Amino acid sequence: MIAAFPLVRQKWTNEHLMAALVVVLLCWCLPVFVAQPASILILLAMVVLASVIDIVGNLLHYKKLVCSVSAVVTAEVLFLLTSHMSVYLRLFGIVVALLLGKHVWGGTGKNPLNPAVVGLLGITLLLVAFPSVGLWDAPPVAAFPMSWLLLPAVLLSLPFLLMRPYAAISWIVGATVSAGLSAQLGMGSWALFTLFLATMVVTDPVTVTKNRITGGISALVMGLLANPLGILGLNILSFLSERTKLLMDRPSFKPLRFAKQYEGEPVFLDLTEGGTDSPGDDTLPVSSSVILQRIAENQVFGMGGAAFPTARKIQSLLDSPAPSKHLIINAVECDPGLIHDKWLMQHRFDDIQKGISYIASLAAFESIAVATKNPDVTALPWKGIQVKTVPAIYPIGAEKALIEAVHGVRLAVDSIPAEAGFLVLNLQTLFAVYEAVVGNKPITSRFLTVVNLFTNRAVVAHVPLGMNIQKVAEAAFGTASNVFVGGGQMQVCIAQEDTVTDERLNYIAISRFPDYKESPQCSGCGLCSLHCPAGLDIKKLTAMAEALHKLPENKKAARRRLEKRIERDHPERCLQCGACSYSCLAGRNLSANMQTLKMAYKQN
Amino acid sequence: MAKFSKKFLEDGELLFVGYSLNNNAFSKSIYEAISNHGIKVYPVNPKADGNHPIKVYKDLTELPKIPKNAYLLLKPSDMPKAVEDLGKKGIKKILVQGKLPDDVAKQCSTLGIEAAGGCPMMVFGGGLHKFHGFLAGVR
Repeated sequence: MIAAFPLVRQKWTNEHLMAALVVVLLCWCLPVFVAQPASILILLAMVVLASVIDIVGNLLHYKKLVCSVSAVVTAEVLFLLTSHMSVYLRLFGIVVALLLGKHVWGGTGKNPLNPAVVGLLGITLLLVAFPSVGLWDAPPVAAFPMSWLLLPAVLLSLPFLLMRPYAAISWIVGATVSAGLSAQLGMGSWALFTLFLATMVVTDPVTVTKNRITGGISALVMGLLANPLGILGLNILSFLSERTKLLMDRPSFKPLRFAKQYEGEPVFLDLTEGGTDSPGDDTLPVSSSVILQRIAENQVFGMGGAAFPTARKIQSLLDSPAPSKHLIINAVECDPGLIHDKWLMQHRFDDIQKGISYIASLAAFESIAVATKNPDVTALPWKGIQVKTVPAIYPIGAEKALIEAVHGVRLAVDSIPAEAGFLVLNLQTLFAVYEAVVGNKPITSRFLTVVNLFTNRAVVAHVPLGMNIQKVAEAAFGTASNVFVGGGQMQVCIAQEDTVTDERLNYIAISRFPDYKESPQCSGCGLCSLHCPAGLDIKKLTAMAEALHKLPENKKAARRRLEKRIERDHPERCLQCGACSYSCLAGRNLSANMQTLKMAYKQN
Repeated sequence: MAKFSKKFLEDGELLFVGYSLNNNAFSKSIYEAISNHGIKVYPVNPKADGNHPIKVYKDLTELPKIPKNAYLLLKPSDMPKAVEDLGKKGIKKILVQGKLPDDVAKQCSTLGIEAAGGCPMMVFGGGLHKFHGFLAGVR
């Protein structure tokens, strides 16, 4: 099965972040470079050695060249932590950092300990074992002097606090208390050193937990030690916390918000033979039984993308033992690429309202509400229908998310909304209900959004089902190259020559290929889980899925153990919204992995 | 031998012979980079089994139309046969990945095919590829 993917992705990548870190760390090195220009060569030697080890390590792990900028970051951090040491000790530290701090664990993203601090530990142990090895053969240079030269570094470092704010600030608090107790508070260089560790080392997302409680408490305690080696303690506690789920926060969810993206008003394009004339006389009274019969016989289906038979959904609601029944018209259109429902509301309002009245007559609904993210909709002349404005976040249009937003009711993950008394119908479905009841003919066409992302233009197209996609794209924009299709901008596949419009299709786009680098190096930023509306630990699930894929088939016991671990994290709850793929800084199509897991566990 | 530049593949369509199904990253990046410039790419690989995100044709007979330009990502030993087949289909220009082998250049000249050697990423790729293209004088 070909996996869908979001057509647009966020612009930031791990490489951007690493490059920014390299620049900021160079700013921290400025006083040392000015005081001792020869130290530039020492840093260069450390960077070259780190890069060579990292490139070789990555080639062994991944069998291909991958970005090694993180090794440069390690070299710079270690350079600053070892300003009082000889070049040989520093190079030794680099070898320990990259080999024992990183590659022995599997490479970037898999190391539980900060490599630079592991390198520092290696040097410390060497000096304990062999004190005669010696330190600096020239006067040491203070790495964190009270100097205006460090002002750019300080200012540029502050945004990095956002990576792990609780851990970083707790570290600063712990170190401050310790400094106060040891009467070092007045020393500016101490403050700069603490800020450096808090922003450049403690905020490493790979080795410090994103959990606010564990990260905060661990960093506070380790900060009291007032020693950079305390960061290793923070790393170990983070690792244990993530593995044992001790003191875990409740998962937090930050929904994605998208800006309006099309220029000008959308054009309407009718590619059907029958056009959009009225299907018949809609003033004639129709009984409930005839309404339901015509919806069933004319095969009205959910136009939101799931294509579920509407008659079956209505019957589930009618058979539901729920004490109260509610109708929600889903006019949210939360996928950022879609505009046809909005167009329908503006141009087919009366027909939709009639469709709603047909559905309303089928049951004694306690409430009938149209959910929208567009406040202008309240100005339309709705009759007997509440308008509920919901936040313009993605994916609030998902059925259960919408029920919670409109009624404040959170349904169980495996529950069926219609059976719980909630009938959620897409706006275009109600238009189809109108056409089916009035015209009494099968649904053979649909409205969808056709866009050209090269020119940022959109077209609302009325197309017959079964029409070739390339022809639709050519009719809309005069070109049929780089065509993508799907339920929305967040779930597309590449259109083949013979792909046709069907019940699930909402969106056709002419666009650049999105840049999925598929880097094997996960930085542990946690954005995938943060933006997951189902609250899944995406990073953990996809890592386990990859481990399962690598396990030979004959290792049945090991595979079964891993499968049980995966089951405990409920991959079947994935909504396939694509938010994880959109957010991933490593450029990975995570929703494809989740789709595979979800299907495998649904079958089991 | 012609000089490879953006003008060389200007016709709006391109046959991609040797699109890799296994070690896919390089082929995919070339396919996408060229497609992103509005050129319709027809990938061909005799081992295509239909189980691929994009349509890969098994041979030239499957193609809905034969473009005038072709890009070959093949081993030098496989190129003469491919050039012969492409010549029979009316291909006018061939771009070979890397250096154009002398025997292929001679063969193309005999068949009246304009041939060049180079990497499409120098012209159509972004980032470091742009710099490479600038150094090579193709941008």
